Amino acid sequence: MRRLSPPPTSKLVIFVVIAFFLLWWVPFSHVLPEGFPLRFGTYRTFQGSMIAMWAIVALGLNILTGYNGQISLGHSAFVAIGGYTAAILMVDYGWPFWTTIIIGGLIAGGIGFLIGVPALRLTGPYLAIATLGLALATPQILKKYDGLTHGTQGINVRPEVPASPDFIEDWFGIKLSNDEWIYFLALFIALLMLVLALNIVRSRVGRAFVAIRDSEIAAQAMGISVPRYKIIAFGISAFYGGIAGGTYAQVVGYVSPESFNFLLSINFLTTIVVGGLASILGSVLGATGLIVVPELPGIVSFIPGAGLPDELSWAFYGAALILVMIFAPYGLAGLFHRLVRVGPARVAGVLTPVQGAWLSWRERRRAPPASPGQTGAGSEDRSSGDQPGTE
Amino acid sequence: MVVTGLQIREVTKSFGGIIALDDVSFEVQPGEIAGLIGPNGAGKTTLFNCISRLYDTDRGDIFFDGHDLLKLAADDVVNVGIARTFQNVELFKTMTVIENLLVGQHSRFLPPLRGNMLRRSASAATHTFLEVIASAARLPAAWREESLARNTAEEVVRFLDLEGVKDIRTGDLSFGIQKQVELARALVSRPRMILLDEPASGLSHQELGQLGQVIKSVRDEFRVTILVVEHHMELVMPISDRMCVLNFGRKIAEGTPAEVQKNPAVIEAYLGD
Amino acid sequence: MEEFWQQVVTGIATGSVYGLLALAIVLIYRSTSVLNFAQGEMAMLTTFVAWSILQWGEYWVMFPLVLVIAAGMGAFIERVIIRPVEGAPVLNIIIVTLGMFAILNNVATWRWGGIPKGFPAPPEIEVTGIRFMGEGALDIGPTVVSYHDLTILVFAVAIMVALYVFFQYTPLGLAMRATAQNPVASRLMGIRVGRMLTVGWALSATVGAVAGLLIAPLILLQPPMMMGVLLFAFAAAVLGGLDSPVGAVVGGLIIGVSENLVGTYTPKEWLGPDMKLTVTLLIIVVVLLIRPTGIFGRRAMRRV
Repeated sequence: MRRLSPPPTSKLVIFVVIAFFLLWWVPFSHVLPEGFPLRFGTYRTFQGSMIAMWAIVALGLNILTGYNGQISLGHSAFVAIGGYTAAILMVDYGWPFWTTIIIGGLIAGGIGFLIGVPALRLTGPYLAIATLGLALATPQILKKYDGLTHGTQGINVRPEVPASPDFIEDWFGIKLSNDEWIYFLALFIALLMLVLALNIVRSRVGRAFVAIRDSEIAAQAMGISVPRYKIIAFGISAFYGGIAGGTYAQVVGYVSPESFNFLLSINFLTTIVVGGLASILGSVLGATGLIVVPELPGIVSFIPGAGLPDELSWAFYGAALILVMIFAPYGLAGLFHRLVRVGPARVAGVLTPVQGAWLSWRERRRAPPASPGQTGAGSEDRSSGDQPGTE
Repeated sequence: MVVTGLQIREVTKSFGGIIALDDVSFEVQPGEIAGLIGPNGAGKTTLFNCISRLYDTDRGDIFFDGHDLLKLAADDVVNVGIARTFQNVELFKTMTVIENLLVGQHSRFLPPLRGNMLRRSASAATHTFLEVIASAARLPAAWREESLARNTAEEVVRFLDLEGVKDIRTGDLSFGIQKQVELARALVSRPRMILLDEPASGLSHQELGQLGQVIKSVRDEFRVTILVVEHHMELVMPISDRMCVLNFGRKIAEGTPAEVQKNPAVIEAYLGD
Repeated sequence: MEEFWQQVVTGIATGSVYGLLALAIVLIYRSTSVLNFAQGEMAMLTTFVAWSILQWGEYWVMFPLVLVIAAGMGAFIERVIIRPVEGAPVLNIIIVTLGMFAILNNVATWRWGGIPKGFPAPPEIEVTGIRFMGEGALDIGPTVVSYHDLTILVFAVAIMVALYVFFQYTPLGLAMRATAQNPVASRLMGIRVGRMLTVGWALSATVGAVAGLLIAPLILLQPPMMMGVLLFAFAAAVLGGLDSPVGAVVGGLIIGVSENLVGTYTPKEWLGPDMKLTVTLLIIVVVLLIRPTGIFGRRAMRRV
């Protein structure tokens, strides 16, 4: 395994800063006096939990769309399955929250697995629109079969959402508020799912996913069963959606048919493209960006002269999307790697697919007729994802 | 007693009225380098695609080491020991050379083909499922396989002299090197037979000579049977033990290079027109 | 039986609108392989512009004016927003169109407000004693058809015929088809590929604008008005085959009619009108499983 280029000490410093930010600043900085620089209110803690939940979906969707190349606009359905399973089991049957999250994930994964079978027949935009149909149908189905789902009124999970358990107080001597405890819970689940995702994409399973995306014919010739791995990718991805849904039920404390409309699915896809396709880091950055950016006009308006009318915040968001796509075609992750100047393939190969796709795109732009043999061994130190968008 | 090597018997394949292969038969003995030559459009690549099960044949049989290839799926072919390269290079171009060679070893860690179709696919599905769990949790089984695969990849990289490019994405490499990486990717699966589809395209005259040496040493070092599709006579003639000549889907000659060279039908196919 | 025909006829009318917007989507998809998620919002915006023009002008003065404005907007969007990401992975361009969706929707709300406005149907015209368009309904045997539904149908057919003639018999249409099939070869043949793409977007925006003008009288003019239509139009385009203009219109009609029939004739307790969207989508998915590139779509083959 290759090493990151920054020396170990600076890596340690970065790690400590991130850990401090996630473990203390986000949940606890509201205890600092009003007006303290970068002080986070309790609402930011809630947002932190939301980012964790979005990151879980994004990781799963990225495995399917980024690594395996199957576009899904139906992931809100899997999140709904996870969320509703957790809510129903907790409220109607009184199950402990953590079992409901796992079961929600497994049910969503199982359904994703089944949907993966017909999905084999479809590709590209046809698959995208067919899965969009899934997302569109979800709220209707949730409303219609109200014997199970409580119908349009939704399910209030708040009374069942766990409070900070006693062992936290025993061990650390602090009593966490509900928001703080839920934040740590969501963070823990997200980190766990992140590690699992990292392991998968670096394993032979993850490589098989990418191989199928790059060339199905060659993948077959290597002995990879294309349908089996495509279905598995769908199942894993839906499992992530289900876990995120269970987390959502704890974080928001309420599920209703309209919480899971198709716009959610579209936002999930936006998250991974803006964050960076086929990038674990990109999934996390995309989730953060998607929660934070629509809030930015409000933040920006504090700066004199930079204010945007509040009613234009969606236009601002739209413009941000377009600008990211123009100036950072490989998403925030590509941008990040340009900024810290980490070479390609150095981050354990995670970024390679992105940069490769970028390179081939650039090559196509440069010379329409294929001219083999123009690049050779000398291209090693070219860090591809880091080039500016136009030439 | 199982017949070893590759037997192609009376294979016919047509595409909507156009006959690409017409009653073609020939054999390749274990350890041989066999050349499959013929002008463009003669059906050479079609035959390759039939062997690697990308196409179904209309008629005929293909056996390899006692396996009826026509009963296998495309992704089982490598499991019985046949690896291949592609005419226009089908590398996983967003992956590095090493990563390509790791994917090339996918079949190494699959359960062996045993039992009937149903049992086979059930055991394969179970295997894939367990494999996902092992990978996600980084169980020892997974990383043991991983390190084995990495060692093999490094060995082959050294053998084919690709060390300088091993961490470069294959999409960035020149066409000639990509062809070599494809050969390496075929080798890492430890096949008993390799199908090379036009290994010489995009190479200079000088590189052609070296390629012949490489193919021979691959045969000797890895003890594989090699079937080469090529229309460059200069490459195939000196290295082949046996040759088969196709023209317009039909076999027009077969034999040692010397015999084939003297065959009037071959001379006409290559010079006449 | 009367109810059946009634449902079919209204289904054909709304289906024609889906078909028109689907046609606009297909026009862009054919040339650039991009699903334009902003297609509906572009139509919505031009309809608001039409509403503003109608505050001081006649309907038939506004109509051509709006088509020209729509064409200009389409061309502008292609040049300024799509051109910089031309050749990028398809998903990136889809995200750009989603960004446009947000901008157009937000700008419309900001400029015209979110309160629904009435929008007039094309006024009555009399040609040689036969009445076209306008208010009221026409009694045709088993059922009653509103004049506006007829208008929609006539416009849809007229646009289709016009587009067919344009693509088959004009040099510009031929050049555009060539560009859609093989941009590299077209460029080598001296076709200005970039300009063709701009024209394609302009044309698509124009067709979409007509769809907006025709649907607005039925569903009230408001910023989110095209969202549902867009989703049906996507479904229609996919059902017909994304590279087939005929397929887009046929797909729209199928969806319009089947949506109405499913709503009327399935058991109310567990399906019925509440589930008509779900059932219609299910039908589409089943069709796609049988024909993965739509009813009229061409299958892509790959050579090794």
